[in-house]
Amino acid sequence: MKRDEKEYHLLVIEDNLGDFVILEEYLSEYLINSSMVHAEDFKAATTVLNQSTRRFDLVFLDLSLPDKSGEDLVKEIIRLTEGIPVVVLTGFTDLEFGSRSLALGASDYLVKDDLSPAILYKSLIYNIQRVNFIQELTETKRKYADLFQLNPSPILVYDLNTLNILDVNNAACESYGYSREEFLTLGLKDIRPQEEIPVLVQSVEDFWINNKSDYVRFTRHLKKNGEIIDVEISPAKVKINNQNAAIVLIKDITENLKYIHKIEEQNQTFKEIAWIQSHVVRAPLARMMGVIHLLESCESTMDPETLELIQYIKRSSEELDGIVRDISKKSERVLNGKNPNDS
Amino acid sequence: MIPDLVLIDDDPILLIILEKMFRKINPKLTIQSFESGLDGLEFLKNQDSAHKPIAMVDVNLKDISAWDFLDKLESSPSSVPPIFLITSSVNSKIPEISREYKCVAGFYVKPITLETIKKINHQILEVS
Repeated sequence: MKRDEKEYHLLVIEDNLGDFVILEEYLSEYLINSSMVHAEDFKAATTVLNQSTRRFDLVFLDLSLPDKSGEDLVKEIIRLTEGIPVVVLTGFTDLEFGSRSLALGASDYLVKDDLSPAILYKSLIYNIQRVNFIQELTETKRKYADLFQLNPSPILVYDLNTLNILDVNNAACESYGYSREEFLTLGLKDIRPQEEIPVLVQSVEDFWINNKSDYVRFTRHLKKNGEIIDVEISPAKVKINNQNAAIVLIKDITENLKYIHKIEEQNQTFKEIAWIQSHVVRAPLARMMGVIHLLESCESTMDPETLELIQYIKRSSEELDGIVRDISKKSERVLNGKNPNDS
Repeated sequence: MIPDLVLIDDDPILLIILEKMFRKINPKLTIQSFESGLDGLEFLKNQDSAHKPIAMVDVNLKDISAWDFLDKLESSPSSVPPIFLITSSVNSKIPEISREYKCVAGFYVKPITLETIKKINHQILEVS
């Protein structure tokens, strides 16, 4: 027989010392490193459970103790053990209650008169592992629920046939201003501006029924306070309770769009400035340069001082012309999508 | 009387400068100036086809775009005079577009220098 060397920490709640000794003996046949704590009544068990610094791996519980028994006892112990597997020990007389204790949260029940080292050991291993699996499963479930609930982007789940909203996450509540309870009474049409509803119906049909990939990704949603936001949606098909449903990740792009509009407006102004530089500013400058040319051509009739002054005006106008051409060239590069400083 | 040269530009000061420059190079030249593009166009279209005055036309006219101007001129039944386009704009696309018009004989960015005036005068002398 192979012995189990793991260090199990067990609690046995049993008022009958004879029964406890048998249990201890049976278990020691399989377990060599385990430690066992004995509580003789409910009061002692409560103290042990509240004060123990080391978590028990499993609790064996006799169903009738001098200070508490039956349903009350099971409920209290389950509450105190907080997830530690509890194996109920019963006599033949309350066999029926043994099975009922499972409904109250006990992991297993054993009939005292049928006990053997093998049955005890099997029950111990089975129930410890079962609780571990359940904990892992709960953890995984919680992780996935967190991915949904704590996702920073609003997520909606809706029924594909009725368009009723089936679930929302915290971010959706925050974005739209509805509580979760309010949301669950709404349909998809309630979060769309009136004029968008035909588009919604069409795109639901296109994407979900006709499997078109060019569905409308950008749309407008309606908040509880009547505010309309621009959104980008990323939908996926899911089955919920065997119903066709859609899970939609929503990105509020209202601010981005505002920003883009602002940039576009600025670009328009910039184009106008570029045009003014290229055409309007340069026209009087070119005219002035024409006059200077004409003046220069009359140099034979002018005194040297006037001629010198004309040269100064000429140099200044040429300088100004250079600046205007430079600005014009740079703005043209920007409008053509190039770096303004490239040559 | 049919002029040797037609100047079309909505900048009256520029017209005076150009006239003075031409007179300086060739005092005998007859010049007719228009501040309105439409008036200038009308005048050119009504010219006797035997004598074709050379025209200098500003690209940025207020009442008609240069391309409209050239389209209308080229589609008129009378023969088309050689056109020199002038502009104060440094927008580089203009020479490329103007190449599509047969009547465009040259393209100059203002300020127009006496050298340019001499070249155009030379052309006028060749035509007449």
